[in-house]
Amino acid sequence: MNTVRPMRVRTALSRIATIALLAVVIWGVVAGVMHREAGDRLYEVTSRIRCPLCQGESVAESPSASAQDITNQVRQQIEASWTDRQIEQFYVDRYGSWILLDPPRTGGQLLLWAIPLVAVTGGVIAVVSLLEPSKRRTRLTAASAALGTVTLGTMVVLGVLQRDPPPQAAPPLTTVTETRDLAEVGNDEMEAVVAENPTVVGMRLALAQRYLDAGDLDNAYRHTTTAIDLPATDQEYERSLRLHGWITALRGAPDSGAGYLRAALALSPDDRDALWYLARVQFSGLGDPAAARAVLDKIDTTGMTEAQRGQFDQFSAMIDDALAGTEPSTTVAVQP
Amino acid sequence: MLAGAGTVAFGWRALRANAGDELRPSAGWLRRGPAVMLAGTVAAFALLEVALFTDNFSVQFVAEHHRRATGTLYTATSAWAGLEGSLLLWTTIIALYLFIVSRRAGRDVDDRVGIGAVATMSVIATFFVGLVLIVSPTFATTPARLADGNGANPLLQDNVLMAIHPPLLYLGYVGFMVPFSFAVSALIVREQGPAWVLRTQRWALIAWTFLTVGIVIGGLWSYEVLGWGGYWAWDPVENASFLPWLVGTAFLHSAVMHARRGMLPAWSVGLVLSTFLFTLLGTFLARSGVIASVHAFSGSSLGPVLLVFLLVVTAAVTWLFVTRLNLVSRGPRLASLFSGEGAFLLNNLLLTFFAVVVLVGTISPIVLEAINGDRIAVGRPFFDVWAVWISLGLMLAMVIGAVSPYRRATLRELWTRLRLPTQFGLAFAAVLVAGGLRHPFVIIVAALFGLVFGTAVGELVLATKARTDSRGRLVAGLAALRARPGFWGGQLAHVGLAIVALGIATSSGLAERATITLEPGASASAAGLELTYIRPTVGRTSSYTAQGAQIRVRRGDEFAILEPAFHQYPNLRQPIGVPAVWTTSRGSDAYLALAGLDSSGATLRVIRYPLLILIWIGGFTMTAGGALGLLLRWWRARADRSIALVIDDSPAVHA
Repeated sequence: MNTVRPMRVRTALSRIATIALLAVVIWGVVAGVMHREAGDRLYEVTSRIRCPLCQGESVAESPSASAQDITNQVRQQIEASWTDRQIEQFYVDRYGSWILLDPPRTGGQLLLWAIPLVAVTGGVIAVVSLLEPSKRRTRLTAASAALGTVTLGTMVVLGVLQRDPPPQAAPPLTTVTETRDLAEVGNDEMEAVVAENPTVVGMRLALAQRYLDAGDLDNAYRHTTTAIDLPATDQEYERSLRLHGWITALRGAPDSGAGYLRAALALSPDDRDALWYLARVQFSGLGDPAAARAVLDKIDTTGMTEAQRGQFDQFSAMIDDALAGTEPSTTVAVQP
Repeated sequence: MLAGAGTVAFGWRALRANAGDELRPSAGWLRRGPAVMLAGTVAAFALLEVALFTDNFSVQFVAEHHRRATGTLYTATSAWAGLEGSLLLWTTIIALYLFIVSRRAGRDVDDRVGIGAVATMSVIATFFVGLVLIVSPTFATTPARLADGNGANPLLQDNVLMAIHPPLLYLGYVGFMVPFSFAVSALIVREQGPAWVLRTQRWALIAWTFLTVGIVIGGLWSYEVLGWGGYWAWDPVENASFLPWLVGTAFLHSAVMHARRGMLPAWSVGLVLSTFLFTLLGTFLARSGVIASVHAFSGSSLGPVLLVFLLVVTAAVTWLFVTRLNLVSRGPRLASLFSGEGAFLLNNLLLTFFAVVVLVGTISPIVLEAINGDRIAVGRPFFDVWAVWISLGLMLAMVIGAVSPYRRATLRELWTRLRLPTQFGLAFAAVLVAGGLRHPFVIIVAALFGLVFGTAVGELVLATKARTDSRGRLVAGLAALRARPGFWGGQLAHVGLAIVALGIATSSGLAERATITLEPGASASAAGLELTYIRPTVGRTSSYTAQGAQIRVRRGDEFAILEPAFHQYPNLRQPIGVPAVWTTSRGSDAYLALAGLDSSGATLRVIRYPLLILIWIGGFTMTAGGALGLLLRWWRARADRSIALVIDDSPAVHA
């Protein structure tokens, strides 16, 4: 029957069918774009933040405890109506731009986005230039070059404009309320605050130090053990390792304690406190005065207070005595 | 003692292996060198297996990667669970390819390109033999008398997929060495023309097929074992395996253009050279410890040696390429952007562009950190943005390439051939829209999938019709297939890629995610699933103790009992989360991973991925496409031979 039907009618029908189908599809796409739900904003934001303790996974993907803590924090930030940029900036401030899986289109990282654009523009021009020379070829070449330049230019301009983002004051998080003098706060109260903000390393370390000062090694140990597993800046991590190493050694495991202290020193080789602790552990815990001497010699004594200086000299003399094979003449306080 | 035997075997082999290097035009030598090398590497590999199975912990590799309690399968696969063993496997595969190629290439003393290719491969092989002998000796011994070894990384022992993923990838990676060597050889002996391409197309296809299935299996493993809820993380080592795939795929296409139309010879050579250089780059990234990754073997002294080799090979190849550019410059011009050549060029442009993006994203964090100590991360968002647009472009190029004739072509002609497939694709998408689908990206990919699928089927119908005669349709269809092996293999692979794209779109665009905590006996609904925590479970195997949660998952009127768990291995501090996946009869994946487990309850990450299974179906379809191309080639060659025989015989009949 089809063959009987005039060709023109068939073509027209086919064209109508194509247009109708295309209309339905376009309508679906447009409706989808318009009604796109705000979606799971928490998922979108956390999928752009790198899980600090994992290997190249995003916070959204990682099942680790630290990723879940960050997820909770982001949830609070979203509830406090922070913008995506503010949230990202918060983590960049804490961890550096390494924390963002999506490199920002600013500064040196602009190059990262520019290279593919330059490459594709060059490629298009190369393909077009393979055509036989004609007016059309010239037009196509010019058009692709212009398109590439404009895209690239737009990106660079936007990148430069964004380079120093206007410092928007992010609304404060409800849980960060620390303005009182810490000396007035009791241990129990501080425990409560730490429990409420489990990922804030500084506060936890302060609490551990209090327990240590009071001689409560077990409670101090409980907090430093947690602290070394928390997401932290290098500096915070180093402080955690240092304190944890010292407390571990005091609790009777000098070997393992020295390991933590060395890890801290690997991050910050000049850290006077870590060097002091390590020298003490080498001397008293491991009974190795030669190693203690070597560590102690690395300590920069300039700017020490009178009292610190006194302790330092005393300890130094003690090591020398031990190296010379005589009994120590005095004992020293453990604190630097 | 074993170590001594191994060293002797190695020394003997290395001594003889050099025979392959000599460009002596003697077929016997050419064949004997590779044969000895293959025998030596296979013997060494067998020795390693013997050492593993006899629990010989005086060999350091065995002490580090094997435990007495390990079962048979994973004892065997432990051989490539560590740096030295996997390097030995890699070298063995190089020797295997070298041996097979030398059987053919060495036949004719006048075949200078073939002999040069064997020599090139021998140089590469000798380098890697040197690595396993000197830099990271497989059979290094340890003075400690150990009662038991460390055991391999447990992640490599949880799933049979991981046992086959590395060998398949290696077969793919190393396979591209063959076209690379022929290209280098053609440049060295200044041979013009596409002869070397024709000789190595089959090898490129074999390599591509292995690389494809290797990557797919790697993704499947990552999905089922790693527990982060995905299959592809844009991890540097994943990227390193993806780069040769991208450039190798581009080469498969440009080789067709080069062989058939003499177009862009320089481009083809450039692609095949970079495919192998990317392979070396991948080896360096994975084995030097410059990156942190699940794949990385860290703390290895191999890094500097590999880096130097990579730089030397890159410099040599670049020098060869630049000084011989006159041999390969300029083929015929492009007649039309919409011709077959135009589509191939578009494909090459997009694939190369994709490779540039992946390369920049993978390398820049390493380079930046080396230069100024800045630590940046380049992750999924960066790659995804580009990958989405490039894939859409690739699918368009695929359909244009399938229907457009070579040389001249006009838009009108194209439309005549593409009208029906376009209507099919639009109808497919329109039905989904009518069914309530509102995700823009999924709709677009669905339409493109319909277009690709419709085009391939339509072309097959047309080709069959054109050949149909009294023998019937099936014979005609098979004859049509046999007439163009590369084309039909390619069409199947294209359909596979479109299926993968659809699977990626649906599973990422329509995924539902939730994290819930359930007390024993409690139920909740999350991510479109009904979950009931039946009871906690405890299990123990010879290698780990498992703590899990038995969960009943209900979707509609189907249900399944899943058991996501933590596996605690004695040689690891942290337990490993092992997810559980259930694919419903309607193609939705329910993905459950434990995030926490104690007596009060289980915390679960629940993800529902609609139609994620399409990714695996599509990936294996692509592999089947490569295999189909090879099979049809073989079939056609056999048919050609029998025709030739008939012709040869005919005078005798008349005589």
